[in-house]
Amino acid sequence: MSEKDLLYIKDIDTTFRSGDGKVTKVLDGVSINLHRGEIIGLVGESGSGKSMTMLSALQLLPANGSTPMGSVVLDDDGKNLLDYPPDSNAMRKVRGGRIGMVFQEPMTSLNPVMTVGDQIAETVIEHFGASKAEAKAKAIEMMKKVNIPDAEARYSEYPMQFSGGMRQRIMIAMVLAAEPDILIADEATTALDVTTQALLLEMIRDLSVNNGISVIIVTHNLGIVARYAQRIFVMYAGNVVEVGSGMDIFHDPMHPYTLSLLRAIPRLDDPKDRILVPIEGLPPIPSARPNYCPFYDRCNYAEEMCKHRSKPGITQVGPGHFSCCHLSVDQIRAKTEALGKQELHKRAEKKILDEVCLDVEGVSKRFEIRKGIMKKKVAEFNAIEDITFKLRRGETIGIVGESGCGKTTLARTLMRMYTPNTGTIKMFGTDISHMSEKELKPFHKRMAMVFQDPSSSMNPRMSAGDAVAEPIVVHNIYGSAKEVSDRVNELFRLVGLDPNLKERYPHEFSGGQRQRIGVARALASDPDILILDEPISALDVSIQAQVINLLEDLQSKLGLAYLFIAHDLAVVKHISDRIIVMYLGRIMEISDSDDLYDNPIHPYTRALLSAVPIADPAVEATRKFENIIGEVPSVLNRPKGCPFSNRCSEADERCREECPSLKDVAGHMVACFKR
Amino acid sequence: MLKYLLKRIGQTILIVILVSVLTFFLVDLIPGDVVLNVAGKDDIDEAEYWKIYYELNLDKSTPERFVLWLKGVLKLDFGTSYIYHKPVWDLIKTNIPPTLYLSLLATLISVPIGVFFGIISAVNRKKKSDTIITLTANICNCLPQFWIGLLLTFLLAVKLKWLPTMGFGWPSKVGLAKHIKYIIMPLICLSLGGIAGFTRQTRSSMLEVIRQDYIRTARSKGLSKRRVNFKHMMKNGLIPILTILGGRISRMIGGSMIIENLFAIPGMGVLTRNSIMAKDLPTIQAIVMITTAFSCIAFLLTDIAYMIVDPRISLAESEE
Repeated sequence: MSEKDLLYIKDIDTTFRSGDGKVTKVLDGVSINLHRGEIIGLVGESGSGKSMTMLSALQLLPANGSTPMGSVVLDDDGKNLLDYPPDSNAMRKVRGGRIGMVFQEPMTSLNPVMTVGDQIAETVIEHFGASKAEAKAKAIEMMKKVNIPDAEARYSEYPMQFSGGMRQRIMIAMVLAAEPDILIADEATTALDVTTQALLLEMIRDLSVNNGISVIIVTHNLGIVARYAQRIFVMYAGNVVEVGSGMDIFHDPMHPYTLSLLRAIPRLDDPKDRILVPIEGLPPIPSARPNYCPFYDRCNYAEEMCKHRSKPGITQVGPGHFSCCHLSVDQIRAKTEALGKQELHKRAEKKILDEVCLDVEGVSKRFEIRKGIMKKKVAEFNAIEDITFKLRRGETIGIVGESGCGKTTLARTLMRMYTPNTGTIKMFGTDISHMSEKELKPFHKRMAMVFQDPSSSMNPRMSAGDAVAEPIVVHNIYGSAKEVSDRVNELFRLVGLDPNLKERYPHEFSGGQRQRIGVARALASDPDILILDEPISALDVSIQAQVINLLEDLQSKLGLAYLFIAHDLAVVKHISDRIIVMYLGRIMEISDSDDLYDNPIHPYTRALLSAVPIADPAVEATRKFENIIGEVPSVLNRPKGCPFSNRCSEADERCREECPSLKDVAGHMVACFKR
Repeated sequence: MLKYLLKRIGQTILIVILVSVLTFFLVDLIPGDVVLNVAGKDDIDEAEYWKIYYELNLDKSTPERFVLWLKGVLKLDFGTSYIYHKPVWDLIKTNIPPTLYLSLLATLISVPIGVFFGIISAVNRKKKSDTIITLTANICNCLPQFWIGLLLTFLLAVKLKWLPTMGFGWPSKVGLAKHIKYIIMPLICLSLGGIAGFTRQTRSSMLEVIRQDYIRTARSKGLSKRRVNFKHMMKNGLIPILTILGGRISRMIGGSMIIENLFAIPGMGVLTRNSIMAKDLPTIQAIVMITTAFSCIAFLLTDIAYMIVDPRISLAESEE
């Protein structure tokens, strides 16, 4: 495209052959260019082909992928990398040597039986022909560069001895050891905690700025690209649909998909009454992509002509801003305005009553670690400690925190899958914390749970209708089969599913539909309280909005109380009235959800919020990432005093010795001595 | 690491002791008179009866008898076989070498060949070579040993008269050429199943490893195919092979009853069969004890090998 291009990926087509010989086109003419020293973002939902583009360019496709068509040119030298066989010397010199890639799964991406040092040194030996000693010295240097403490000693440790964040650092060190020009971070931080993610991305940016490395960030997270990428490529169904600077994409998006996506995702800085507009339908499956615009079926800008014309090509809509749409800029603008007016329909009405559904007081749950044949107790720890809050009818309380904060233990303790060691759980005034299974039965009916992974939390051998009917049958709510069936139909309609789908099995549904079934099942016993444990984290962003809106509608219709557990702060903030911030098993702060973002009080809350990137480069430019020390420790190594004391910049002697309890600070409940 | 090792050795000793208790009471568990059982026949005269009675310490209490028996076992004194009228250890001593020799050779043949074919077939997955190897391995895995033995005897010994139908002799006694002729057929019988088993296991564990993310990482580093295959894939892929190798080694000393009987090889398999048929209790006890001890040691060695190959094991243990 231009003289400055370091890497130019042009018109890549990649096909896959499935077991039955069917050929599926996963990439349909993808073009991406990268300037020297630039950070670009490649965003899209799962299946949009963003990772596949990178794997194609590096010829790293799995065995059933064909050699991609198109061209990949490095340094503008006219040589097409795809002409080289995948395992040829020339290709290997580029892959790993000039272009390094960091993958998503830190837990599985490193060889478990090789020391991390050897894995880094291997790159040096391969690309520089260095001696073992030289390679080792270089590997240690790289480990220091990515801030791994004690690099010399840790050189000969194995991947399992490192945390997820540290493993990703090792991966980056491995890539850097070859002194590449381009670093590809393929969802490199997705599996990590938000604070760890922020630290890692900051480091990648510093590396880019200081060493002139160009970076391609591949992610589904719009916030990350808004914060870090200079130019953004939006992908949908195997195509790049829009290219532009951060400002172009987030403030003046031109492609209907980008526009719809931005309307569908909640943002941390949203006003209270923001309405999410979900993108209806699902992306086309790769084997059945239409010849016309792939977004046509879900597009609310579409015109009749879109269906009759072939797939739109990329056209310039502004300086450095390109979009793939048949509609003109003016048409898009006019329609966006019209749609904006429609959107003003009120958000579901919210009524919080004074009736307390759930009164949790000083709840702790202790776990013991037992080892050996005699199952001797070797350690014990409190997964949750001193949890106190009240949930009222019609209210949503969000619970956020990073790994090990105890949010899932809390949910299970409240459901009485665990018996708390201390404290009381009062449900409508009755203490259920030590009830027997039998006594609990009537209470179980009033509290239900929706789980994270809709595909693995449903019995694959049970039809959707049977799954939903199960709680009705268990609790003997309706007598006759006819009544049960009617109730199931009603529940299906309630969650927006066609009752005719009752006979289908879980695998025949999409992720979003499955989660609707999960909600229908939870509602079957007509509960008053729903505990939602990461109900939307397994769903794509465009689908998340559908489920969030459904939950909000149901709440206003049925007067439910929600306990919404998630790690995505923007989603929690959007749906919750109040938010509980947890850290290593303790509550750090409780506040109204709006106020939490505008005025976080606890140092941990501040750090956490500043670590979450917001999908708006203009806002991002004004924010500062509050430096936070290190990573979340294991709950087994919780500091003696305040759990956050070893990472807090304000901590003093008292914080390290004593554990602060919650107190009222400017309308928030905060557990901190310094406030 | 040392702690884990000591723990495993402790476990091994415990198992051997438990088995020795069971073996010892084998004599008492069999209905009928102990002396007559041990003698293996009913028509013994009075003098012989009391001789055996005192040799077995039947005049002493059961715990005392056990301790005395165990003391003997530790000195490799398993008593006397009244069938062969020899100390049991002498019988075992002459029968172990042919068995161990043949099973060791068979293992040495099966492992490299099996692993080699397994890798070939995994790397060329879904290609013709893979199909042929997998199909052959599956067939060989199903063929019963005695059938292969009979078939080979019929072909190579009866029809072609290349090899003797049966027998065994050490090179020092019968000469190297004769010796090789003796062992060819038993070795084929003993190795074929092993090769097939190792091929199948290697193939499936290699395929498991090929799909792993770290193999993609290794390729993304620009490593050569050779290095990816041998450095990254082999080490991980061969870990499960250790399990079946350990299992195979543990069975080595027991010998193959079928093959040894078919080819008249004077090994442990033949001894086991004969002593069972003749109700030679002291010999049976000795065989059970020796095979158990050998198996336990083989499994212990397997675990140690695991520890060396897979750092995750010793690391997980040391966290305790």
